[in-house]
Amino acid sequence: MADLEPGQLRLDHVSRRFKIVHERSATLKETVIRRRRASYTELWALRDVSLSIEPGESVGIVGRNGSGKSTLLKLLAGIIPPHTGTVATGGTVAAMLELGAGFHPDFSGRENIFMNAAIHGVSEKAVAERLDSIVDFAELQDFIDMPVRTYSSGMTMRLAFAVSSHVNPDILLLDEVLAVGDEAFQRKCMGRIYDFKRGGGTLVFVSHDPGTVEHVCDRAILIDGGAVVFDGDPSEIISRYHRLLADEASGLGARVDGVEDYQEAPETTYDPDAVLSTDIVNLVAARLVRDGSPTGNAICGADVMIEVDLESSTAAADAVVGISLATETGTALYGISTRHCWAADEEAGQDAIRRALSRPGTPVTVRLTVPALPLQSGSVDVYVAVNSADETTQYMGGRRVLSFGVFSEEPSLGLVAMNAHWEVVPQRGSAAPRSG
Amino acid sequence: MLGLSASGPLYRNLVKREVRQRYKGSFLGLGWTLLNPLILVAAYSVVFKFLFGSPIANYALFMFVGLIGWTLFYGGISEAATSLVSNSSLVTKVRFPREIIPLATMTANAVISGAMLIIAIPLCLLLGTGSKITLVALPAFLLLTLGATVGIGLILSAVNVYFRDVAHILAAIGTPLFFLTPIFYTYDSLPSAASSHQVLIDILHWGNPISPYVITIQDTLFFGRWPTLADTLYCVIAAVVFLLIGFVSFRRMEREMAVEL
Repeated sequence: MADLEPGQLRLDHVSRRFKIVHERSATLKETVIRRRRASYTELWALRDVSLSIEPGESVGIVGRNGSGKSTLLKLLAGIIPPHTGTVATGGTVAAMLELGAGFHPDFSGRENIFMNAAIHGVSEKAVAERLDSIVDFAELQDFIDMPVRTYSSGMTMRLAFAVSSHVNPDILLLDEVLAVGDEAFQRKCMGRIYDFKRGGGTLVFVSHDPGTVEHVCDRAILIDGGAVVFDGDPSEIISRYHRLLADEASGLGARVDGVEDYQEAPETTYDPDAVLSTDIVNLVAARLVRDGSPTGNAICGADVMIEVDLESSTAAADAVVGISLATETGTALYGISTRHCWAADEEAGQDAIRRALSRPGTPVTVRLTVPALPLQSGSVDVYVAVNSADETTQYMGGRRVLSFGVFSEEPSLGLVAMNAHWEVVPQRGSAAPRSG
Repeated sequence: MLGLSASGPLYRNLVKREVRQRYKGSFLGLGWTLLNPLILVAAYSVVFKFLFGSPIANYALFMFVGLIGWTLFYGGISEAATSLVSNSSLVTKVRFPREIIPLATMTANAVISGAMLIIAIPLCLLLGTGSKITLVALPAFLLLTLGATVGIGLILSAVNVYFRDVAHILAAIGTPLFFLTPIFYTYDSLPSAASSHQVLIDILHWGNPISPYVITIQDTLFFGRWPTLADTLYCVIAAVVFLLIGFVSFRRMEREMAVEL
């Protein structure tokens, strides 16, 4: 380790596996009584990854959920060891894997600043010197002596980022932390990150939003299945990433119930209190259909259909199916349930669903057609949930059933393809004299 | 060890937090550290001094001194056992030498035992009938107690990450162990019938690692007599052995902690 200069990172043939224990045996009794340990599946989160990052580089690591990018970051941070290979870092490393890790709710903001800075190895004296600047950055002047449990989540986030960003390490590791907070604060965080880059620090940034990586980083790494599949210019990363997602979505079956999806699947939006959740309805398959055949990607402006095959295990006679679309970062794009928006007879359609789902073992396919898809280039996640009509029972918990990429020739920016157009309007008054 | 010295600020902050957290929001605050043992001492005095007629003079003070040793040792290891699990958010998100957490917890516990000591020392000087000079050996025996506590505490804290039963086992054996430790009696103040069970007494004396430490603290602080050579040797050897095993085994178990928590 000693021969690395500050800011350097080296990974040499690093592999890391995890055991997915089917029935966790965390008690002595179980381990002692059972000769063999509980059965488990081995999951290689990273396989033979070699990587070299130089001081001052800012590297973005992109990959879909479960690709191994968070594992990579934890290895770099030294929180978990590799099974084979070596990880070496030069200089001081600050990892922001979770904002506010180690915050204690009963202590004041000020006390937590000292504690949090101490976690990163900053002395009390150094914190005292930076205290004003931290409090200013977090915009918490009036609340700094109140217990953190009285803070809103936004305030906690601001405080956490403020402390972490005042640590001034040689290497800064960031995990998705910018996906939180309001837009003004995100901009402020970005500013802070640019300052860090200008100061010559090494930045490693994990995201599943390739757009942010393109903005922030000067090198991008795409990880899939625990291996580096692309390492190069960030401007290429978006197209590479979407190609990957499209390939992935074509081979659907594996994706629906893959182990990876359980690890960090985005939270669903329904209110879990007061709802009884059951597994009465099961997802059989889900696919994207364009021009009459299943596909992994959609084209801006072209019709596209989402088909979901469902089957009930016991009678669910009043089922309502909901579908929602969201971006990779979780921004909702569209959501609709089978209560509304039927092409033909609404009553008949709802009846057909109920009839099928009230007969266990009879699959039903619901199809949502989106005419002239009004989305620009990007990646879209599709979520499906099934509830009872009165919404007191959840027949199938909301889950992501597929992801697809959208390709667009549009030169415009943003999420929505608005089909807007320009024209020059003649000035009133100063224009050429009009007749009349 | 290099990493340990760099974690000085974290260690200091954790100790501070542990001490303050324990009584945060309570009216008496640190007063509870003294009130708790005093209530215990009062009840035991009634039973064993007045009902059973223990021959020990200044019985309440005697028991208070024994409680210091007990709190330092058993309090330390049982707090340490759960420390990593209850600080799992730190362990899984930040890199630092993990020993810091159980060490800080045990330090905080030692600070609290220290508060009891501040009360006990002047009282022992005032009421003690033995020699006062043995008090010079007290710091050495307190340090040995702390050494054994840290060693065992490190082992238990790490094992508890992998097998959560450790904390439950410790809680279950707490009261029995308290009775089997010479805190409210001494081996020479037992009723005459007990003398026919010398083997049993030896087992209790040497089989329970807490006993020799409590006895040497009672000897130097309360009775004003030099501890026996056997007790002294036991304390030194056990402290060294536990410390060595503690640090070595902790290092071995440390690697996969973030995955298990």
